[in-house]
Amino acid sequence: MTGAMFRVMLLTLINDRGALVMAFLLPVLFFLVMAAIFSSTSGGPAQMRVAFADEVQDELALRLLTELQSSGSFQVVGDINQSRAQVEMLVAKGTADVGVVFPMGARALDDVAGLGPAPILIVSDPVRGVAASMLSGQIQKAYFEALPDVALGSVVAVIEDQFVELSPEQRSDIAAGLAEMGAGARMGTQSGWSFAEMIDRRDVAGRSLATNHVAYYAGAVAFMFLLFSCMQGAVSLTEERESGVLERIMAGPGGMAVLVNGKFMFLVVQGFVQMLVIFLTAWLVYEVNLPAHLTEWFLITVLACMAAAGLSLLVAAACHTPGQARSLWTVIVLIASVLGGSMVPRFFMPIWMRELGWFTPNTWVLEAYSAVFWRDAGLAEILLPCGLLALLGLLSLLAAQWLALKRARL
Amino acid sequence: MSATVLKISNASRAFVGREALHDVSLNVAAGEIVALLGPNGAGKTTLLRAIAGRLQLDTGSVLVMGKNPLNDNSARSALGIVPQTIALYPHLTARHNLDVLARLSGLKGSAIKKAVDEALTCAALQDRADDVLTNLSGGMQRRLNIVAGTLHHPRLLLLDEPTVGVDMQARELIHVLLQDLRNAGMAILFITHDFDQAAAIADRAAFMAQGKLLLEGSVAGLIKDAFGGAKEGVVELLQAANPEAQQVLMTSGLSSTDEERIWSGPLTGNYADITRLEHHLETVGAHVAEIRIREPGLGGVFMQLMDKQLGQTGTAE
Repeated sequence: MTGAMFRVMLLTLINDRGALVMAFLLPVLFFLVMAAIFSSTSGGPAQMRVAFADEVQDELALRLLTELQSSGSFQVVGDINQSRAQVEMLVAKGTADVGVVFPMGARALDDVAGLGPAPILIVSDPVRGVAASMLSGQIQKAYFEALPDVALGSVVAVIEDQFVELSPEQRSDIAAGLAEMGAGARMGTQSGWSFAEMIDRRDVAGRSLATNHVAYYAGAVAFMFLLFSCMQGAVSLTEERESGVLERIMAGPGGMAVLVNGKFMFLVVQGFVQMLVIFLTAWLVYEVNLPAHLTEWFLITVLACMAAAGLSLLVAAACHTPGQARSLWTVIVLIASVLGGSMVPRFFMPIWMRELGWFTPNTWVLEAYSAVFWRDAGLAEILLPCGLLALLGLLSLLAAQWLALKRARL
Repeated sequence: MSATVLKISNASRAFVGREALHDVSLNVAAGEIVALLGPNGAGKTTLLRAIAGRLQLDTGSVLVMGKNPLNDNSARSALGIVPQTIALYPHLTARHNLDVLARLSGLKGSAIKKAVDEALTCAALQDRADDVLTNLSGGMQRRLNIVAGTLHHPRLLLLDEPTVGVDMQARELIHVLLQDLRNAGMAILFITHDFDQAAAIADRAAFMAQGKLLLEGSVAGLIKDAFGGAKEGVVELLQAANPEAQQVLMTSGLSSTDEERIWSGPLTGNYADITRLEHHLETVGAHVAEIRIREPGLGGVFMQLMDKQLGQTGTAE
């Protein structure tokens, strides 16, 4: 008889094209959009829009600007000969994420430690503060690479000013060397230097930042949509109470247990297929390594589906009307998705919010998936989140059965 | 004498501040249709829920085939329920609806297909079997709703206003369907507000009000007891009767209906008496729109019963 209820849910889904699209197509489309966004943001400011204003128009500013523009790290907005006011307006309007001005009346680019306004002004919108920080780093890098003679000459000047007086011969040698270095930099035959050479980097988790992001969002999007689609099925419990079907079934030999268990089974299977479709897409389109982690993925996914199905049935059983159940569940899903990292990764959140996230199943699911797909964790390392999901699924199923029966009996 | 399928003995149940059932006793035998009548809030639906095993009684008992449906699966298996609403799945076809409900009723294997085919035939819906429920007319949905409760051949069928909202033709088809089920040996208990329907298809009628079973008996017997050999007269006034007109009508043995300007009751005497009544009403300022004389029905029985109840309440007070 549990199979009969499963059949009801399946036939209802098959006959309802809207529900089919909601359950299987929409999550994939949403995931593809998220994946497209995050697979292109591999950590650099490639898509940053920058407005330039060169009020000084001297050779050093031109060299720095040329280096910045040739880096390909951002999209230039407008003309470099525009005014500072124009740059400020472009940033204020949001046309540019950030602006760079070489202001008239400021110190020269080779005057590192002098008095007066700084030779470079970054125009920023506080909302996009991160763009200003990223551009600042880019400018420092470009400065050392395009103007090595100026950078080194400034250092020499500081040394001579503060530590030791150079002899005329030494000054002459240094000037000749710097002139040669500058000529080489202008000709493109000599590259400068930057502090980037002091830093090396080794990625220890996952294959690439982009792939990790896609793997993360595959789990995040899949679980969020799983929660939403579970309610579509679970709310039928309330609809059946309203329509009188429940009365009919309750009078039969199976009773409430058949009804709730059948729905639970269906929701788990539907959720599993839904998550499978998303992860297959992630594997085929974005090379998220599903085949290498199949066992762990299967366990996490089944338990996540059980938790989502049990919880949604519990909410449906607790509510009086389908509308009430949908509204309450939407609020629960949105809060859990925000706190649990389905919308924004938890490592972007303040510590207290990250801690709060541990009270949501989203966090357990994403921690488990991240452990597997980012850090190649085995079964032993995902036992805690998996255990929590299993416990939540079973307890909420039992509670849903009890509550549904209590509501059906007067 | 047919076997008793349903036996309700002294059933009582109170909710907070309200007595929903008070000492109700009623039996229904196999091959019998019993109509449960009464105003809204009389306790009819509560009684049906108790029979369906969804309500624990404070005192008394409900036995279906000798067992308590509240805790006995075999008693519940002997029950078929037809709720007032269309208790079916809107996105499923007629056949799929019957198929899954047959499975949920405990049928297995080839019995499912047999029961579904029989039910479709019974509801005259073989040609529309593969139509989604929402594409069927209201009358078809009602018929499907009824046969869905009979898939497992229950011994007792409970129906809550089975013809509400359907046209006359569909109603007639449902009457035929219920009579066929009765003739097949099923015990049927149905709630209705339609006295004509109850008189047309029920063998017995039971009247409830304020949680009590006030009157119960065969339809013919109840009418005979209430009207004797008299016809039922219906006096329809243009406006609600004034106190003098009410006195005239009551003296003539008539009772007010739900509508204050319509009065009915046993009408004795001849046409001259009717003319006198009309004249009398006109003299006290009540203008008669129409006077009808008809064969008495359960509506008249109910009116008399309510009048008697009101009289008793008034005396008690």
